[in-house]
Amino acid sequence: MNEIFGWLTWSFPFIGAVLTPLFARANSKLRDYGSVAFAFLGAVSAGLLLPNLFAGTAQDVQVAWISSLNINAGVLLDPLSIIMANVVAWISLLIMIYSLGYMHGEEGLTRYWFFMNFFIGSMLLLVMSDNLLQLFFGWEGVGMCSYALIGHWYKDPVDKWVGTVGDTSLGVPMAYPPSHAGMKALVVTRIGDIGLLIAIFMIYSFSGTLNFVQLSQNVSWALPLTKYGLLAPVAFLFLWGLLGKSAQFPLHEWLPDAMAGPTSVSALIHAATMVTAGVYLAGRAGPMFYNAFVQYGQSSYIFDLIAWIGAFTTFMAATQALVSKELKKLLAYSTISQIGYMMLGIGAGGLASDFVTGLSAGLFHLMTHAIFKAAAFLAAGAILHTVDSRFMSDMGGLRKAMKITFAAMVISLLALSGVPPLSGFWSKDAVIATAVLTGQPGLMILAWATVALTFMYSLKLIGMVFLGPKSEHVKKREEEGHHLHEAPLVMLIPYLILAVATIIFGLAGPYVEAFIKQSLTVNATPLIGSIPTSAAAESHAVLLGSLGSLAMLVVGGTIGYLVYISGKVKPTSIVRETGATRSVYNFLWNRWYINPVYYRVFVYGTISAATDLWRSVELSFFDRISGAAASLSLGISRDGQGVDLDAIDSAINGIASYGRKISLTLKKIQTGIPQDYVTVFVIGLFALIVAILFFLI
Amino acid sequence: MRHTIEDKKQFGMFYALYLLYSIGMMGAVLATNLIEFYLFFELMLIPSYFLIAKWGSGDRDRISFMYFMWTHIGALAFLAGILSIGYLTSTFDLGSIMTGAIPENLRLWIVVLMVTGLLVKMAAFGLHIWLPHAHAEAPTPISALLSPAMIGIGGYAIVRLVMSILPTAFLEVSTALTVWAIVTMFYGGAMALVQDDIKRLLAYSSISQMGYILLGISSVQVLGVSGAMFQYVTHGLGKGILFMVAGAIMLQADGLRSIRRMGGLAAKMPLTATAALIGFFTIMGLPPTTGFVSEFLIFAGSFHEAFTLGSTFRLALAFLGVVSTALTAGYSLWAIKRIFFGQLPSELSNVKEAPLTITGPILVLAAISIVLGIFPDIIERLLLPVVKMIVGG
Amino acid sequence: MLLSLLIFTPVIGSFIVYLAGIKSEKLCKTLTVLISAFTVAVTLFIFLTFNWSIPGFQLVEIYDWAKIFGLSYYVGIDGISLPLLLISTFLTTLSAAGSIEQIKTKVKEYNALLLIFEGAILGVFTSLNLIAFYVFWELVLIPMFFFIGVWGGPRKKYAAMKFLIMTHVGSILILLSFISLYVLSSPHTFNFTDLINMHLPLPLQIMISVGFFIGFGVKLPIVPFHTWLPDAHVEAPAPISVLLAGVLLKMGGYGFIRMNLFLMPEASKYLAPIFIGFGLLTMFYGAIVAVTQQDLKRMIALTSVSHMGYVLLGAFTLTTVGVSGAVFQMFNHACAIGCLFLMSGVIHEHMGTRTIRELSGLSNQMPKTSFLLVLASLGAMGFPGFSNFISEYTIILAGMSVNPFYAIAVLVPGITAGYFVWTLRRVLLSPVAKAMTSREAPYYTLLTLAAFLVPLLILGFEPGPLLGVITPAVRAIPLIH
Repeated sequence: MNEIFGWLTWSFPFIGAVLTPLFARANSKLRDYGSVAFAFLGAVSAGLLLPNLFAGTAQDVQVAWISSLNINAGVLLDPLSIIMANVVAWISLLIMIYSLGYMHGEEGLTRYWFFMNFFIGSMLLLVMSDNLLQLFFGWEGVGMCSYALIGHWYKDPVDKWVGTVGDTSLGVPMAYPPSHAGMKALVVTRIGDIGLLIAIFMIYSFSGTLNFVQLSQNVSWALPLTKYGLLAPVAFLFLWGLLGKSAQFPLHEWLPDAMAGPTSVSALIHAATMVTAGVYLAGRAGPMFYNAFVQYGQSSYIFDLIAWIGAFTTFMAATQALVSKELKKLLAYSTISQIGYMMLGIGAGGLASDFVTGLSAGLFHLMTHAIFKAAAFLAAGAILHTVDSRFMSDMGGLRKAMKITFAAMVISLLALSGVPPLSGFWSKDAVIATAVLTGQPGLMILAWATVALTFMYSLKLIGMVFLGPKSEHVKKREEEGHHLHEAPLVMLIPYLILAVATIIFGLAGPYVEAFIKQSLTVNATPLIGSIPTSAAAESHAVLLGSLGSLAMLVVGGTIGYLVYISGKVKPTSIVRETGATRSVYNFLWNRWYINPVYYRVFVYGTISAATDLWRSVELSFFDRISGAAASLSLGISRDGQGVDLDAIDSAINGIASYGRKISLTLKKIQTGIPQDYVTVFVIGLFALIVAILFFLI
Repeated sequence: MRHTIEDKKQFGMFYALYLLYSIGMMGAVLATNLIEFYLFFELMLIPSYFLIAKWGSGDRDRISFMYFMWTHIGALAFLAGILSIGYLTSTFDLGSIMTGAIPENLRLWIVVLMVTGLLVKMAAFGLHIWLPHAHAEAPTPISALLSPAMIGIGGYAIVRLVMSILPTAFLEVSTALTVWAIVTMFYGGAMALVQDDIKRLLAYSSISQMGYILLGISSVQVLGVSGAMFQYVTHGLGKGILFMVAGAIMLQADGLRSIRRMGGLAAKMPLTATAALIGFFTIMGLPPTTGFVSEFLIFAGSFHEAFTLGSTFRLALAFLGVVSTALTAGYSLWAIKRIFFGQLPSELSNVKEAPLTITGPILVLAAISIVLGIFPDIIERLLLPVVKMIVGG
Repeated sequence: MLLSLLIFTPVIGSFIVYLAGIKSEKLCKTLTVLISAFTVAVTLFIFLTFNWSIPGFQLVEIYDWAKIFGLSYYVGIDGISLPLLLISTFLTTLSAAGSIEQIKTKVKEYNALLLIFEGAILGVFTSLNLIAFYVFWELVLIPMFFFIGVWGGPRKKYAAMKFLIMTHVGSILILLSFISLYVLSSPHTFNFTDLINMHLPLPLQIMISVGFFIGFGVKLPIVPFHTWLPDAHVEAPAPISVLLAGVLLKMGGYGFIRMNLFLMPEASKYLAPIFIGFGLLTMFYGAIVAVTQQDLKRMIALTSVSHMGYVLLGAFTLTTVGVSGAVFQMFNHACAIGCLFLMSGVIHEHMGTRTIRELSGLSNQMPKTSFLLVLASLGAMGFPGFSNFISEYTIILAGMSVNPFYAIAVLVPGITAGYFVWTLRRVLLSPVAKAMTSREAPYYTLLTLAAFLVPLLILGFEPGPLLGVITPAVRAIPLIH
């Protein structure tokens, strides 16, 4: 009955977005608070959906949209979407409030508020929509907003760049202006979308519907695909789209550079919500593929793929986080890494033929991560404001000046590292437990190793930013009179709330996990043949997983403590000027050389290929056709005229002059007077007539 | 366009030709008779020729001549097809043509003749060279009419005349056309990627967009064909916006066309920049613009056809078609970045926003593009039955 | 009586004009225009009173002349000759009007000859007695010879001789054919209507047709007998070029249809492919050679060569569509090319040159003329909306119906459009070459020019009136069913 809120949830922000420019005409205060108000309305209507969640019901409300193709619009109200919607809506609200302080005095705020609200709307549309087409509108909407917001400072002032300016690798610059970063994000995600679109087209051409419920309840569409042997490829193409959005290997390279946008944007879009859309969609569409695989007995190596990509990305991103110098970039890498965990959870769930467990683990981690990572980003934003630099080496010793921020940051980072009893511990261990259930040692090892790495870079952040002596930069600023100060309340409160939420979810962790799992079983997109694993096996897996990760926490913790906190071991003593460690460091610093190689192959490669094509084909062939044709025809024409003048004319003139000779010999009346010629001809004429008459009669 | 013609006393001539030109296009679209169609089809040519030749820029008389010759010869090939139909069925009236009278062995050739003729107008790969020149050098209002409105008529005619008259024979060439479409899409995109002249960039992107239309048509599926017709609208809107934007920029930055010398214009011309963004998104096929809908239909159609034929080759082609959207996205976004973002060059520091007479129409088009993108049924509802009738199914 | 009136009004008129010319040139000029206008009126009256439904000859008059060798004055018209009558009188009037400005020397002689020419040409198109036909045929040559030789340009002597010799050689062959027809017929007769029913054995027919072919082919002209035409045109004064292209060439086409198709049915069938081959050759050759011409007038002349190729093609498709198309084409070509020739004269008059390269910037100098030039060119390139489009494409269509290969003829309009647009581009759109202070042509000249285009545009949208006259007559040709 309260499905109307399903529509309102995403309509309100859109309305807010449309109204923003109008508000801006009135005055800037109205514009700012107005847009926040609409985000609030959206959040409230999302909250009003929670009863459905606890009632454990699922419904799909549809209205006619493109009736000629019988595609309906609709909202799908099931636990998955409601949980996700609330996470998105409320975190968005907090970040909108934060923006009031953080973006204060920036230029282009109308644009900022418009796209923020538009983003929230698209994201919620994506979450609530009950069919792939509608979802895709949201999907691309959030992409567009991320593009616009990353490039918020489109004039590319140098202090807004991301990366160390002038740093290159394989001759590819590794520092990017905001406008470039935005473009990169949209292009890479677009490359992902290609796969997604193709998958949608293939499915649609057999199913004739795009509705999730119908697709997963009746998987007959998969039969012909199976015949063509296309089911797994389609699933992979689908996955490809998710990888692009969620910045998973091999499409992860856009996310670190997306940090060129304002921190609030990074927090909302590139940590909490948009990048997790991939995970959400995996959860949403997973059942339909899972059912199809089960139905037609296909090998579900697609789940292997998801799990392995997840695990690998987790590890790779963590290692890169370890060496990054910029505060936000470190958090970005850790985001990639954590999303890797979510993917791992879902994939492992599929492998362990206990999809619900995996799904709930992934979703749970998504939720907790959204909260603590948002907190971390918002805190980081406050720090960037104070020290006015994105490099951690320009910070240090901020603990005294910014106690609350410090506290919030520590809580969120510990949660990130999975330190009990914070929320991260439960969700991450849920994922790792699922990995254990698969019984694939590779997955477990990667998952565990990453725990250690995560703790190390968390400690690195804390050590470099808050502890230790103040950096030269900070000192210099203090001499200039910019004293370190705690963030204003409007910024402080949001991330404080998030930190508190992290603790609460931590304490209530097991119950939340159980609740999510239990409510996902009443999914609107039911699962066939997902065998719940026996409680014994599960508890065993959980035990093993948590033990492993605790051990890893100890390892990572000690190393991190020695290197970054106590300073007993200097990083320089580990990474020397030369030697193995240095080359490892370079490898990590250059993003495993993935980014430069991508640029060399795909960007420079394409452009140079196009240039060659342009020179060799367009200019030197097609552009000459017309000219060649023209000159050819002119040539022919001249020759034709030549024939005309030389051959035929001379022949005629020859005859003429010959006739003249005859007439000369006959009579010397060559006067050149026309009349004479006439007479000549008349004579000749009569001669001929006589001759003919003579011959014929 | 008022702003783009210096010589005030030429107005009368300009508008007379301009109207004649649009009469030609409307007539061609509304024609129900092959000869009638040809008449208007040619009527488009003459005024546009003089418009380019008289008000164009650069090496205008060579280019206008080139434009005339290419399209006219194409039209003659098309005419040969028409005449043979007319002779064999002894009528030119679309309603009363009895294709039974056309011997099997001739059908294919007639289709080839007509389609090739129309593809010249559509500037398909290989027959395209007149287009970049003509579009780049034509006065901007004319480019804004050439590209979005005129060249698409070729596609319309293929559906309306060729496909409806000789469906079976068209089916035989459809695969070849699909290949041609894919090549055109990629080639146009690649060329657009390396252009420095903004109008040339748009011209080449038009070529690649024509590839989309051709792909949709060659799918011979209700979805695909209606998508192609939709794409005609889409491209009309998007390219119309973009050419007008180019005109606005050229007008404000006294005739600047080289992208290399632009940058950061978003700060100076916010409305134009917004419109340009929407225009490029329309070309890229990003929701909620109408571009997404038409491309969705086109690709859905081509995949559907691939599966109904059960042909792996067609499947691969459809696949490539979707891949080429990445190229489109690439050149569009790169162009946006280089034109509107980044540091503002010093010589552009005193550029102003274009007057409302120019930005107004652009924004209206942009609005339409979005409305149609969200509610495609407005058009699709009318399109689908007709296409069903032509394609069947 | 109407036809005799039509033929002899100009002949008598020529004397009146000459005498009037002794008094005042102005009077003489106006009289010429009035007399020829009168003939137009008569032809229009004939056209309106003409009974479309009857296929055969109408307004027949027959008087004995020299019975000894079957020479009689025997005139009559059918739907094939009527359009040609119309165009002859029409063009004569227009060129007489055009001459007012362009002819300055020996005015009275000129006008007198003009009217004689008209009379002769009308005689050709009406007379149904072969000898009478031949007499008129030859009579046409004489004024034309003097027009070129006396009022022509620098190389007038050469051009005139060339014209005379070549056409004359042709005429002789025609005469030979006529005579042999007379000899072979029994009872011996030169009467067209009697000869129709005579059936010769194929070899003889072929011989005679070949004679006709060369004879009429020189007039038409067919490549390679065409070389007199460019020279004649270049040298002749513009109004005469109008008659030359508009009327004189039609004699050839008329001859082909009247003589070959009517009298030599089997031979025509037999030789049709060859004749059509020559037709295509002419079409392409004329068009291709026209491309590089520097002299505007020479280009137009070659255009008319290529256009007459259509007539040959149409005539020898031996189908109703093709032949009526051919007749229609003769009419349209006369209007379009006539306009262009007169215009070339006007332009020469005002710009002092005819060389295309030096004409650049014409649109600034003479905007109205340029506008008419564009229209006329569109007509000449067979652009939809002008009746040339209809005639040319009906002919091509008929050709395709005979043999799909003839569809290749579609290329000719392409080439034609090519060099016309190229010329327009060089003449109209290029900047002013040298500072010329030439004034716009006077209004009556512009009106004269525009008058040519009126029938083209009317018939372009509604060809009914003319085709309605032509088609029944064409159906009457025994060969065509």
